[in-house]
This record gives sequence, C-alpha cells and structure tokens, in this order.
Amino acid sequence: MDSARSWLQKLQPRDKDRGKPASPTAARKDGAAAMAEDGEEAISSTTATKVAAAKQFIENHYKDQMRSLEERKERRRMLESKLADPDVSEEEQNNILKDFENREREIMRSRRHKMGVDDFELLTIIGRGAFGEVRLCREKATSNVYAMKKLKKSEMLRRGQVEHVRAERNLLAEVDSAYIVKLYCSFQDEEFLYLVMEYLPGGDMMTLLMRKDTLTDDESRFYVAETILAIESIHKHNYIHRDIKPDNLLLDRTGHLKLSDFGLCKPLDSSSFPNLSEFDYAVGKNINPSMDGDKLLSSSAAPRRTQQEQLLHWQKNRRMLVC
Amino acid sequence: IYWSRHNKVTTETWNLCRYEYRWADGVQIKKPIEVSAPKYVEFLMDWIEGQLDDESIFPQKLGTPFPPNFKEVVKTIFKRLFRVYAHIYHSSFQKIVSLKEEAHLNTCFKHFILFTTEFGLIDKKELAPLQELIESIIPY
Repeated sequence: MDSARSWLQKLQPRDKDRGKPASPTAARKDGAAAMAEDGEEAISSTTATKVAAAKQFIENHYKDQMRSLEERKERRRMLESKLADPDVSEEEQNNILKDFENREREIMRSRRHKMGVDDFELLTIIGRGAFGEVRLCREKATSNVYAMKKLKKSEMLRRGQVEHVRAERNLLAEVDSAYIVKLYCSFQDEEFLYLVMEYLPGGDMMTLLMRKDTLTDDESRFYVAETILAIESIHKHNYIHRDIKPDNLLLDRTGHLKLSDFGLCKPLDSSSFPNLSEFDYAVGKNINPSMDGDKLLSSSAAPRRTQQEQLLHWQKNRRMLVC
Repeated sequence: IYWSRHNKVTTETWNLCRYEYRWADGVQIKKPIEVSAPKYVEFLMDWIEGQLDDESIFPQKLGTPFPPNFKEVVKTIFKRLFRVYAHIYHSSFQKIVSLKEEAHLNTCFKHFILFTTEFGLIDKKELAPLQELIESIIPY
C-alpha cells in the first residue's frame, strides 16, 4: 500500500501538467489570441472543425491527383519500353497505343462515377451493430467482395454518435496500413451512411478463442506481436483506438491480424504523453524485487477468472454493445 | 466537407466594390434576383451538382458521347465558380488568413486559373475582378 501511494504521488504532478491544455484558462487564452488576430469574435468550434475538414479534403485531393498522374505516366513508360521491341511493326504499335489511350479514357471516366448502393449486389449479413448491420456484398463492375457497413443516420444522431462515426471514417480514409481494415469507399443516401470495407474472411479473435479454447505459445506470441504492430501503426498516425478487444481484432484470408472498429478512436497530440523513461526509473526505484514485488503482486492482482468465465464476460459485453 | 455539402459563406452582402452578381439559373429562377452571398453560393453549388449528375451532360457510362454543347456548359460552370473565388478574395480573405487556410485557397485558385487558361473556359473580361492576382500566376 505504501508503494501504491508513492506511485500515485509520482503520477499526480504529471496529471496536472496533462490537464493544462484542457483548462478553461488555456481555452480562454486561445480564444483571446484568436480574437486579437481576428479583430472579431473568437472562431467557433464548428468553424474550426469545418476548416480542418476542408484543409484535409484539399490536401487529400491533390495527393490523390498526383498519385493518379504518376501511375498513368508509369503505365505509359512501361508500354513504350515494350513497344521499343523491333519485332513490333509500326502499324501494330499504333494499334496498341490507341487501345492504351482508350483504356486510360475509361479509367478517367470510371473515377468520376459516384458510388451508390446500386453498384453492389447485396449478399449475406455477417454482423450487426448499434446503428445497423454489416453485410457481405459484391461490386457489380469488378466482382470483388467487400463488407458493407450500413449505418442508420437517425440512430447515430439520436445517440449523439455522429462525431465518432466521422472520426472512424476519417481515420480509415487517411491511414493506409496493412494492419488496419481498408475502407474502399463511403457514400450516403437519405437514410443511411455506407462504409464499404475490406472483407476479412478469417473472422475475429473472439470467435477463434471460443473455437480453440487454448492457443499454443507460438500462436499466442504471433497474435500478440501482430496486435502490437497494428496498434503501433495507428499510433504513428496520432490516433488511439480506445477499444482494443478480441471482437475488434480481425483475421484476413492469410491469417494475419487487422484492427477494426474505430468508432471510439481519437486523434491525440503526442506531446502531451508522459515521459516513459522517467516512469521506468520510478518503477525501478520503488519496487524491491525480493520483497515488495511479491506483496504488490498478491495485493493488486484481481481474482483470476477461469477461461470460461472470461469468454462469457466478453460474450456478454459484446451482446450488450449490440443491444 | 463530407457531412455538410455546402460551406456557407458568413458575410452578408455579395458585392465586390464595383462588381455585383445576381443569381439566375434559367430554370427555376429565370430573371436574375439579388441574393446574399451565402445564398448565391448555395444556389450555385446545388446547380453545379445538378449539372454534374446529369448524365446527358456528363456521361458516366463508358462509350456514351458528350453533348455537342458540352464546352458551353462547362464555360458557364467555370464562369460562375470564378465568382466564388472573387468573393472570397475580395471580402473574406482576412478571415481565411486568420483560419490559416490561405495556402489551401491559393493552391485551389492557382489550379483553377491554370486549368481555365489552358482550355479557354473563362472570357478575359470576366476575370477582371482578380486581374492582379491572376497576373501573378500567369504573367502576360
């Protein structure tokens, strides 16, 4: 108990420091700065949000445009290097170039197509959530299979979840990582918001644990390592997930793990994080491995549930989320 | 942008010193009417979206040809979009600067001007309200 109290004392000053950016004084200061700069009223949070979204949209737009242009140039370079082959006659070269230009024109036109639910063939329902359902679907043009998450707008509004869904959609659109479920497109109609995502046929860790009951050491090591890499990849983009649990760890067709469900994720300013090296020093300083360690372990460890109880607990949680 | 299709401009009047624009789309509002700046932009964005969604003007299906008057339609769109830029630069630029958005605005406008110049989409006299700014992008 003494060591626990000293831990708290160590943490408290840092908590105070972390609280500073959120304090009314700081907020007032920011407001005053904005006012001085503006000569008008302070910028409302609604305006600030729209400005940030507009900036992001414009930056993404030009990034996408440059990427498309580079890809197009690359395709042309590859074609021209093939045509350099002396065996290809000039007439054949012209025909190939004409076909190439037609294909490029088709690509350009398809990029202008606005996606809608009519572009997909709806297949089986594979999950349900608080605001709607997740359904397997096949894109008519490509026959690719996706998971379509369909969210009822009125329900999101009623539960005050619009910002969470927006955060999720923005993160999925922004972060391109092998460890995060990919968002291919999103669109809406009068009633629903649709997120068309990568389909992961391996299911989730919850189902795997329920099926296998016990994983081998090697299996556990592998999944824990992949979880760490997945979490690292979103931390690199200054997001934290805030809902890591077996339900949200999905497995792709090759057995690799991907994070999903970013409804609670939050962008963070990493400069507000505590200094972990100092923390480590505090830990080393306060724990005597021969004596205090044992006491700490025995006093702080919660009574361990059996494996079956843990699974039931998770299952109950999952069902509550769905209700 | 994703959730709210239209960013309403917060200023009250739609005038640029000597320039005043009136809205008419030739369909629902045949005679030009005086409207506030936010209203004008809203009308304009709705109208443009209608044009872009019209498959007889902007075909999405492969192989469908563009209409014979396609260039005229596009020129009208660009002429009207230019007025939004003109308004922002003349009446709201300080606001844009205080929001630290001027680099984004300038990038979009530069792209807009280079594109319209390349394809001859806006008559020179229509560009008069931002003449100096345009000359810094494209020296004559």
